[in-house]
Amino acid sequence: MARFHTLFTSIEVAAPFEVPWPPPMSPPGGRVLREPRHSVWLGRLGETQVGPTHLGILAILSIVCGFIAFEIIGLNMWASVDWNLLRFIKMLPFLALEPPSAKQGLSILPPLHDGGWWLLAGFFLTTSILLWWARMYSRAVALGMGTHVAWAFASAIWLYLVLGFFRPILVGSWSEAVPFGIVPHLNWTATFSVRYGNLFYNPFHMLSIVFLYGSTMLFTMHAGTILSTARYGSERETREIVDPGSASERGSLFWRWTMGFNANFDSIHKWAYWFALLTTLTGGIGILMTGTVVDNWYLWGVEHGIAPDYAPLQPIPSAPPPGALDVKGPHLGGATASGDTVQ
Amino acid sequence: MSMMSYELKYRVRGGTLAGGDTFDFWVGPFYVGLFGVTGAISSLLGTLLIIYGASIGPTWALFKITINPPPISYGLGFAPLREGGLWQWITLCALVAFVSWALREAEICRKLGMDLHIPIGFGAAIAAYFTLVVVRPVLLGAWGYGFPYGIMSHLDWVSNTGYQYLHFHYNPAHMIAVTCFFTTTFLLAMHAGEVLSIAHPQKGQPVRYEEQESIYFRDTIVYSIGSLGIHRLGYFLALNAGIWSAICIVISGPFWSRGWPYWFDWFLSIPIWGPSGFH
Amino acid sequence: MKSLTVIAGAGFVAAAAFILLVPTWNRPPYTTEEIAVPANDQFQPVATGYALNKAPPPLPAVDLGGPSATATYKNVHVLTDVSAAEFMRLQYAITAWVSPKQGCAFCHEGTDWASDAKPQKAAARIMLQMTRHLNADWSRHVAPSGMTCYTCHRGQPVPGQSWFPDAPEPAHVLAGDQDNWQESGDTVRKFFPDNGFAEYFLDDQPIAVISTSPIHNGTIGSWPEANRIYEMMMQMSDGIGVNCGYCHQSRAFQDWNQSSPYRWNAWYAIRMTRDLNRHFLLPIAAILPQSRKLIHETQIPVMPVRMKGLQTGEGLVVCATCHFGLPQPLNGANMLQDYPGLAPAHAPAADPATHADATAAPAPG
Repeated sequence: MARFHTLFTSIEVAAPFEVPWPPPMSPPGGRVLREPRHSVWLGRLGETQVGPTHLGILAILSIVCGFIAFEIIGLNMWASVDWNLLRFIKMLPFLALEPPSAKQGLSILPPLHDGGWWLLAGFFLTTSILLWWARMYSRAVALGMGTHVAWAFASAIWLYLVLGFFRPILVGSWSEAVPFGIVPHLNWTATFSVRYGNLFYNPFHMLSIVFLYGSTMLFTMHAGTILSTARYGSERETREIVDPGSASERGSLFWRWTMGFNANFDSIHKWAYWFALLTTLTGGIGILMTGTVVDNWYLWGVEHGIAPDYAPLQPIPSAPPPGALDVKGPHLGGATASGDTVQ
Repeated sequence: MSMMSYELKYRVRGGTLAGGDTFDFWVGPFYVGLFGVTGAISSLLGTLLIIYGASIGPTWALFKITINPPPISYGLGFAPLREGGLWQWITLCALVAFVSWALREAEICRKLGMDLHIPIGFGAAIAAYFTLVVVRPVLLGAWGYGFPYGIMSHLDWVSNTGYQYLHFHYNPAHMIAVTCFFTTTFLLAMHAGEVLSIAHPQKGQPVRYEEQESIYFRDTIVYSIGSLGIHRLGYFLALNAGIWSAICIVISGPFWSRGWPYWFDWFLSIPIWGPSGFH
Repeated sequence: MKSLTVIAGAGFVAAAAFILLVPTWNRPPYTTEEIAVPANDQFQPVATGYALNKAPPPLPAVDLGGPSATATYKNVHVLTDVSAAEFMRLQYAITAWVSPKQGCAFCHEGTDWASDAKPQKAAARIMLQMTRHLNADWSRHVAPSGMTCYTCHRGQPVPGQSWFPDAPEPAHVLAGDQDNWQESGDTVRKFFPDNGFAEYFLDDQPIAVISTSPIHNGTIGSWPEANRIYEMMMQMSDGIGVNCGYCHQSRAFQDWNQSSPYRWNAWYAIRMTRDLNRHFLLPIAAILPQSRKLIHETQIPVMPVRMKGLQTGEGLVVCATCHFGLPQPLNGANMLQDYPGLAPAHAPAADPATHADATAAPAPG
């Protein structure tokens, strides 16, 4: 029953390389790696051909900026363990390049050791990403295609900019931004949720998760449909859009018979595109509202009547210890002063 | 009759898993089959039980409604309806409905001459649900460890369960699952955007099919995995998102009861870091 | 290509074996307790603690009447309310609890028991005062089992779970500062940053960061504070062998009405710890040479094995110092009842209102 050719390539065909046609429009730059390579390992899963690729001014600048950002982050981390290689390897998961401290506000020239490097790295990384976006856009235009991929990328960039740029500006401090670092960004995420009273009660966070899980579900459904009708040539999707054949008919009927409704080879990609794009779009909105409009999402949920009321398992004293809510009061409240016990 | 122009020739008998032709017919666009009947019964019963549970609950506010599993004291036994029994029956109904749906999908696959990727993919999601409400509770010894059925109450459960391990982001399987979710969504955006951009080209440009897909991605990111490969990769990652989600929750409790950050003790005790630390 | 497949396969198997064998996984069944938080999903695995969680048997009882210690012995300042026999019994007990290898000479100069030559003796006096103060005035946290020297010392002159603040990293001129990861720690518990401990277990920094207003009004706590509290709370959780749900409903950490009564115990404990650190541990550090500098001298014990590398600063009390990973130190064993000298009879009456609150909360565990 199982036909593994739909899961990986068991017999690879050494065919002539595909040669790209010259683009209808010619922005600066040209193709490099003109002699493509065969990769047997990549060929197990997908195409065997690597390259040729296009290298233009946008790509070069983007790579240079990305490299600078990478070096600023990496060298800062390495410097903070006194250039000790073993320490660097051990501490790498935990090292961070932190944004400026709160006292720097939105200063664009804080001291280098207090967020200056972070701002520089952020600037170069952002420039790199925006240049790369321009490259994705201009390549699509140059090849005469739609620019859908670039706009999906823009949605991800929106979330990135909200986290590191728009929200800090609205809140008035770079210190609100995410640090660079593996564990530090995980810690940041957890602290963010605790500090703003439980992000699960943020409706845009809910939407973002729905679209994230929905995208994964849609990809299973779509990829499953394509792989299970691969013997009818279903993977040639644009051909099936223009000229639906047996693969399109079977795939459509499968969902029609299963759930009474079916997309087609064109519209499934619209569903998928919007689910994926809305994941970061709604996520960005949720983050942008946090700390600017809403400070405590749980209490926001209580106000809007969505927080369930749980019956206590046993009677619980309804008042905190004396002084517990008095955050500015004496914090040895109730304690016997014992300063004179010991001289 | 709501049939597609080409549909009639595909509506053939046979392909049922149980053999024979019991319920081997269509209702409107829906294929019925034996598992359509079991699925319809179980999902209808489950839905009615949820509505009944809401009706005996304190609220009709959609976000507040919750059907809770039994208290821990009932262990792995049956609980009265109002004390988690409803949850047990709803869980059973859900599992029967989900499995019926997957088996019905398998029958449809057989009718249409398709391989079983879709029911298998759905099976991964069912396995994750089964892990949450059956495997982990059984390993921990009480149905009470299942999650409550409610919009906000299940989020509260996720939150509380996460903080039982102090910082769930340190769960290595959770890391893998999240990575799979994000990567799947990332690839879906690339793939869907790509197909749309070829099927809907610039004004005056022809549709150039999959060859252009490869050229675009080779031009921009050196390598194009190809039109078949992207579905293999997406399918693999999407299934792994579900599978690793199941792993990350089933190890939390039955196989790891402390905070997840402490799991990484092994990293700090690798001998190459030296016996005396670095200070 | 074939050899590459074999290598990849072997690597995968090795990685899987490593993941399965190296971390200290547990396996079912394990017992939990359901606790009183207003949601039906708060469960605690029953904690096993770090080590040494069995109370030693009490020494044979002696005559509590008879001549008083002050009448029999010279230079007695703290244990003035016990009999001479009980006084000596306590001396033996303390030796067994604190300096079993070093013996009497850990504090006493030769056989001149009255001599105050050794700073350790002065430290011991402060420690006795601290123990009596705890049992008399902090019943809201330590009752009913009370605490003795053994609660923290467990046979070691330096309690194994003390917190030693690290020397701050010298500031980098160009590179940014890192979180205060304790690189000498060989477990994550010892590795995590401890900046917050000084703020919350020594100073009166309010432990409040979550806004009490849904809409933005600028009252929210700062980022670093939020991180420090998270780290401090993780110390607390691990130190007493529970998880966040022991005290909090995680959807609203700040809300007392959704918290369990155990959060009261913790609230008192934090104030108690500040009291101990400020009024007893810092004074000891002032008179006692820093023990970590004397590692190689006789009579001074080597530091616990986990304390690798050079330490600076004072040994201070955090949750784990007494709890050793259990909700109740020594699983709630009441050693104090066998040593009334550590529980002074003249405990000042607590404020009736707060006392009633404290007794309303059931003891943990």
